[in-house]
Amino acid sequence: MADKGIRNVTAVLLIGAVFSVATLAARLGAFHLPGNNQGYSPEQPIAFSHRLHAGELLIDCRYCHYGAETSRHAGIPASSVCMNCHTFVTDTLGSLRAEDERAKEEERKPNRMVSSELQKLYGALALDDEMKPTPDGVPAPIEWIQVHNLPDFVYFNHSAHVTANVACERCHGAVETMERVSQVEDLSMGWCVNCHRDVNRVGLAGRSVNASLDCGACHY
Amino acid sequence: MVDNTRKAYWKSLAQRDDGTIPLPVAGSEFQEVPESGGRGLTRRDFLAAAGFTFGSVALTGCNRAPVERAIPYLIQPEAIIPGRATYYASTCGACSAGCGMLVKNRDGRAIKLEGNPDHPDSRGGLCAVGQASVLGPYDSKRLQAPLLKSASAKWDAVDGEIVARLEAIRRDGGTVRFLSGPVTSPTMSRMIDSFLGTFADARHVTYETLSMSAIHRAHERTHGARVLPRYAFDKAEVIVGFDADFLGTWVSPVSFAAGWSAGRNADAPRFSYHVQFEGRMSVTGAKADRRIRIAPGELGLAMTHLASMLAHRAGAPFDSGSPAACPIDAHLLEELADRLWHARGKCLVACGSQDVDEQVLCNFINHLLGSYGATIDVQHPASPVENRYHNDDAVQDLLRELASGTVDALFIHGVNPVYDLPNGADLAQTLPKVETVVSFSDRVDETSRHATYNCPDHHYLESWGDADAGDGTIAFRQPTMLPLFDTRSVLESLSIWSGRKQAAQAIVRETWASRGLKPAARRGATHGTLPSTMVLQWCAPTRSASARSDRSRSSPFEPHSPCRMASSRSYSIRKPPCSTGAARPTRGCMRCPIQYRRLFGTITPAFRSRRLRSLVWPPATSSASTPATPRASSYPFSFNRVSTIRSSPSRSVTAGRRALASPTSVLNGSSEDRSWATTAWWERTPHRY
Repeated sequence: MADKGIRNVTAVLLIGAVFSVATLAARLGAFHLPGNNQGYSPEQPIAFSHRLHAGELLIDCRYCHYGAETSRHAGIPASSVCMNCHTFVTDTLGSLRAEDERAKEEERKPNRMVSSELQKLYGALALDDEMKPTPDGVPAPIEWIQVHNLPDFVYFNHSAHVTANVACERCHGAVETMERVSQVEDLSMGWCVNCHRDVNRVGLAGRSVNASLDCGACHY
Repeated sequence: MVDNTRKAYWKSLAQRDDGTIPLPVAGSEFQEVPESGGRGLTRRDFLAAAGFTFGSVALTGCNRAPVERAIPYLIQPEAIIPGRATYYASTCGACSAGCGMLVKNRDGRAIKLEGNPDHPDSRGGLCAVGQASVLGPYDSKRLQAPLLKSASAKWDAVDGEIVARLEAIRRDGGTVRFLSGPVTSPTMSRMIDSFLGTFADARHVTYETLSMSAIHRAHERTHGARVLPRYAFDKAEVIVGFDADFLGTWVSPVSFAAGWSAGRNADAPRFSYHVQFEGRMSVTGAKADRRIRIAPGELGLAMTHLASMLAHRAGAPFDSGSPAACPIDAHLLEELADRLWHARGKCLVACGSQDVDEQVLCNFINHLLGSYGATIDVQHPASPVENRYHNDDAVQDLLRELASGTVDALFIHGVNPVYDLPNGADLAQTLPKVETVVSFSDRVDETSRHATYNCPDHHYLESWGDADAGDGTIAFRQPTMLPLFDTRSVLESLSIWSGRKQAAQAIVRETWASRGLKPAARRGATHGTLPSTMVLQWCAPTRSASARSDRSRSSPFEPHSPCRMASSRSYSIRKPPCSTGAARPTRGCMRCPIQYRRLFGTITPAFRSRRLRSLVWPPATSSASTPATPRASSYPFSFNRVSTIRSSPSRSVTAGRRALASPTSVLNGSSEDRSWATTAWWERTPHRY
């Protein structure tokens, strides 16, 4: 009778294991501990390249993410910030040059070139290629996908870190090399606390700092 | 026999002795007893297997967090940084005190109200009612669109019917009545007057649930002017409250609390002494040095005894007749009278009664103690706006008119008379018979249920407006968020029905421009001066997600937004602090049933009329018989009949600045000089107590 029970358990466990593997198999590649989004790199509505803007063109992070020094959120730039440059810059340099070449060959004036990605930006603002508002266009904000996302039970303040001279790359990685942004660090509590301990020991940018290790500093 | 060489286990002595002890079998100590009759899976097996399976299913949840979107503005307003709250200075509209406040605003929603420390009257305080009023806009019971005969309608349809109806009334010379709470807004007052001015027979009737009518009428009898004086609790060393909950609900609790606590600073050279007579527990009574419990009906009796004791000390004639025995310990009252008499000139006796005779007694006591001119100011009274002279009798007249069917159109703003009035049930019977009833109520309440047209007003956090804080302080109200629903400012409604369509902002500007007040040039002006165009633009709140839903209508009244944010949303949208029904009690929170019943003097003990008839009033005094108070010589007006309550010319015309014209003369075109009401706070010396 006991043997029978054990046999039953074994059978059920095996079935369970097979079932679990079958369910998990499809997602095994994406397996993470709960809350860990390391490596997350979602496709964005507009293929904005940090490598181009921050890497090649050397635009400061805080030009667009201007809340970083003053607010708890670094902020996603409003479309109006993009338009500071993209009112005039409508396509990549390469395609503009190519069009110039073609125009010279065909002995005509070069056409206005608008890249397909920037088209989406102008569409959001309901502007046509000439930067004029379209009569029946409805402006609609761009819905970016948030990459770095902390749980709701954690309070994180960008301005506290940026003003204490924590470099952006320390948490966000080498964004200036990324075509599409991905999450480099795991943003776990252990990772936060380790950094807080380290900087208390060795200082930050040559200055001693007092990074809090209180639970209540982030969880309240 | 028992085999003693082996370890044996037995379960009973009989078992041991009878030698049938089974040999211990390894692993069989806990025998498997199949629960399912020996066949199939046992319960334990099932749980073990199921636990593993469920656990493995749970593991499949170890995946990416759900996709979160970050939606930035299309066009970033300069003043707004996501993650930081914006603050707008505005004026509280939860009661008629008009305290200054700072509205914390996040993502286009007002989320917290705090007092504005720059406001000269409330000085950074905001009472519990004011603090709670931030939930008002999010109340799920709010009307989200106008109603036409209890069915949801468009503004055009409602306006069309009302305008046609009013035209007919104008043509036939019909009767129009406007019923409201005390109107402290000069603009609102102006608009009601100009609206009613288009009819042959129109009248504005006001009443307040916590009526101050008795104080007005008592001062009319004693001082010849219907005023609600200003009380300086900070200057008083002995404070006596007769059922006046001045720290909680009475007149202007915030500024009174500030003054009261200033006089009770332990580090200051003096510390006030506060005695409270009351029939129910109030905040003020709890804070008093001595709280004396007394039935409301005996209040007048106690005051009569106190007045008699003080008159005796002052040598003033006071014929109290032979009042009934003192309802409280006479020694207590004698001691209080002593304290008051020793501190004369620095006393304040406040009476919260709705009974005019009791208020007259209170005035007499204050007069004996020299409080007038010292702690009580009738020269710069607290109610300069004409319509704040609400008159309880006028409401009863209106009810009679309604019952007799002579009223063609009734407008109801800011009050719920069916609920408030003692004879409200009768009103509920007569209201359906009135041909046109227009209610501005923000919800379907006891009164607006009977309205022909419900034209919901904006919540005050969504409105342009102004308020007279009660001491001549003019404070402006600006919208701190865009209207959530398809409501409309009452100012705009009245302007449309008067045939002159205007935006609320323009109406407020016009009021003050007509009084010589120009928009201030400096940015960030909060109150006292009308902000400039630029400020107004920046002050206009930004549009947010749910405000977008009803953007299809293009009203000319929408606050101008500098940023054309027709559809931008702020980053990291959080739910508005939406109420799910329990946010604001339908019946208001400042209303007290005890005071209701007393509203129209239904409780008037017989003793009072008898005693007071014999009271020599006003005292037939020569100057010799006036009490020898330290302030007597500086007493600014005769006690019998004061016809010259006015400020000195130097007060109303300050060099380099233009004083406001008298609200009275502006509103009524009257040439009567009542310029006591005319100086705005910034014209006066700032009174930091």
